[in-house]
Amino acid sequence: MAFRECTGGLKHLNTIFISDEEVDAYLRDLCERLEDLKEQIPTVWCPIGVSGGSIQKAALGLQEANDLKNQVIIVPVSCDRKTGEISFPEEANPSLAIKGKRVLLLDGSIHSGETFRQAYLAIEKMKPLEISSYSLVVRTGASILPNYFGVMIGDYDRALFLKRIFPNNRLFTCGCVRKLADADKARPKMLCEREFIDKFSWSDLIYEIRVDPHRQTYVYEQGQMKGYVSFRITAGEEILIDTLAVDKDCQKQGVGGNLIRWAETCARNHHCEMIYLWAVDDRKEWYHEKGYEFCDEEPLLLDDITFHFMRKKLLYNLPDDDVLTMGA
Amino acid sequence: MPISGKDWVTMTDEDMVKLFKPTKCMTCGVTLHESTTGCRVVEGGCQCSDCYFKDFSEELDHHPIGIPRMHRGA
Repeated sequence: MAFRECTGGLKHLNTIFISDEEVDAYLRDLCERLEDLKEQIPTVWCPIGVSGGSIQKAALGLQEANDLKNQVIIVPVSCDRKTGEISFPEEANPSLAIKGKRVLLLDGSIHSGETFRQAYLAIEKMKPLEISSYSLVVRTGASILPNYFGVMIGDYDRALFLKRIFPNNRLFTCGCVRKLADADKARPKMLCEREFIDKFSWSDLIYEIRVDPHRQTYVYEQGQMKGYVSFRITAGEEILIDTLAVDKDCQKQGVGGNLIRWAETCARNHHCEMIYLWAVDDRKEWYHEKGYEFCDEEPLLLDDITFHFMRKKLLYNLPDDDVLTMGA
Repeated sequence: MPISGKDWVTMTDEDMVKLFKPTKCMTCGVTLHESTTGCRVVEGGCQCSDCYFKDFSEELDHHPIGIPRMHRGA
């Protein structure tokens, strides 16, 4: 089932819910296709991580897999998400099990494809007779495509399956986030103690929205205006966060993190690729540690403060590479 | 010794976590998964989206994002 998430007039993200019965149906089909291979059935199965292990467990648990279950041996594959390093946690010498054999590489979902590709390359080095591959879910932007897969989803979509619970979006624990409105002109101005931000009145911000169709400004309100974010967004391209400020008396309430999370969510809904901001010189390293990179633009010196133009990919788990399709 | 297909079917979720040692959030320790927790690579490891944006809250409390720019009537 696919549902379009209601995002208040924004574009849509699709969330694909794959029920356990649907997972079983896809895996039943996989088992039947493998059985059709007869003597060419892959006899070494290599699940990648917990996701691959869970899919494999569901497949081998099917009645249709009774014969397969007795024919295959399992060589689990792990990947360190930080370093990308592939390891074989159960095998001191996995090539003994893999060399000269037909191998099936499995995962639950392929996002960037990088882990899958690295696992494929690690197994290939062990000189198997053949490598086949399967993933229940594949994103369109993945850098590698398996031989068999169940569902292909868009890069901005998410797929949920084999879960006891499905997570809700998490934006605001309390308070209200809404678009800045004309009536806010009369509200007391909030202050963040940064002079060039504080000189902007609510009226100035409303004027900016009026004259710039790409600009959006959201306020965080809970009895008072606690913070706001103002950004320019161009669909399919980028988001530039001009201002994000938290009232000096409303710190330690999670306001800033919630507002930037909302800005990212908006941008993903608009299928933006990049998020941009100007980082103050003494904070540039902090943003760098959080995954932002420096753009080519020269730093700006304004009012005796140096600003660096920085950016981050919104779909942080997708590569820029071309798609590579695996040979059977 | 490789695991047999028959043995794999009896694996529990806990067994799989022990076996694969999946990446955990360096801040809160939750097991990371892109579509549920988020998995953001930051300096020193990976974080779930909740912890990633909590860090932003602390940062933005003291260091707002903004650049001097023209405003109405200036």
